Amino acid sequence: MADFQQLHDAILAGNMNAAIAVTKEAVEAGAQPGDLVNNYMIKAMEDIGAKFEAGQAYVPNLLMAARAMKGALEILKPMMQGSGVTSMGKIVIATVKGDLHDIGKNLVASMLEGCGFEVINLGVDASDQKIIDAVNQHHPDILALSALLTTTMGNMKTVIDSLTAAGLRDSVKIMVGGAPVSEAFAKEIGADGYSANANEAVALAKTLV
Amino acid sequence: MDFRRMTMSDITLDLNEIYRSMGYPDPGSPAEDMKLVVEALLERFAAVCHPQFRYIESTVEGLSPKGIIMKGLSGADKYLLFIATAGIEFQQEIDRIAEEGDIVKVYAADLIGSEIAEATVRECVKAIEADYAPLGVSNPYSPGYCGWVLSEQREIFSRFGEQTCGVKLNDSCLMYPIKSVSGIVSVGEKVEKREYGCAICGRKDCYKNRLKNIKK
Repeated sequence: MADFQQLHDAILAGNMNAAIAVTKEAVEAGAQPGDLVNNYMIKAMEDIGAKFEAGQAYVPNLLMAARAMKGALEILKPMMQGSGVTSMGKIVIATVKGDLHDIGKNLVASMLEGCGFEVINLGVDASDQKIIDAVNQHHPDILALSALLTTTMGNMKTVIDSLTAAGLRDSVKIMVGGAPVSEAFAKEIGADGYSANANEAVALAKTLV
Repeated sequence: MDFRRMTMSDITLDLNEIYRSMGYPDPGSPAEDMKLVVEALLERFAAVCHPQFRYIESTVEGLSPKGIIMKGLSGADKYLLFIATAGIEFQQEIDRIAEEGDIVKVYAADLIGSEIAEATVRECVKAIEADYAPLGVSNPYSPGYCGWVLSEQREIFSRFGEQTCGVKLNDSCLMYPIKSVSGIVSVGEKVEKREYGCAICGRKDCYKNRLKNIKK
């Protein structure tokens, strides 16, 4: 019988191979995906997030945990249909037009996925139209926008203005992040929330859905 | 020499800068598994990468770098524009790494690419210093930073004609290969490396200043 706590510990340690091995063992032992995801895997992601907030873990630790989580989820995916495991919410995420920086955005996307959200990643240099099309197509709960440069952060406002013009603003919550962005800037451009790092982004997303 | 195509052994990477960019507070703190990832990627890049740079004499007419940059360039007898890049081979390799789907490797590779581009700029400045000795050479400054609008990349690139080290601009004025840097330096008897932009700018919403504060 697999010790499910080992799954938690493997993800917390960012050990993907161990996380996959324990998950396989747990499945063979008849574990329910919902139990594994909700009580061990998401808990591990919350714990690594807490360590990050406390300065006891760094960005690579978050990524390695997210990678381990993803590896374990791949094992469970075929069993999850009808298992009662539901998405925390749907998020479209993009780096705005004029900005090619995607590491921070991808980290947020990985953490959100790891914590149970369905994420549609539009990549970098995303035009207003591309974002509007994605909102129309996927009907996300949240649109997450990223920018690294002071010279491109203003494009977040043009996205929000474009969504308003397209009659879509009220259909989706908007969260923004990226090094030059601040709480005050988020309020100024009419976003619904701001997060300073990937861990905060997960916490914010949970409050917005 | 106004153009140079190099191998990885021709440039000097600051590994501590890579680890600092990951958030590690000091060079001794990166986890062993992360060090192994970085070392493996460096070997991979060393096998294929050809960083390169080119610089040309030009003017600042038609360009409008902001006050901080102009202060850094002050005393100029000449202005030089440059393009430096980690190269298309790096881009192809990091694209392959992305296809492999390992987010940890992609993250580390991206930071290594940034450092390769920065190290290439350092080599470019060294070459300029050698070419123009004993004149002073300023620090390099780039559009997109210190308030210099990114759209002026178009004007900079137009002055290089076809000789852009293989770097192309997209319609957002972003460079491809992504790990590329364009910019300006000044050269002159009265030119000196002044305290660099980030040290004097203090712009609270710039990520470089935020990183600086985190490092403290």
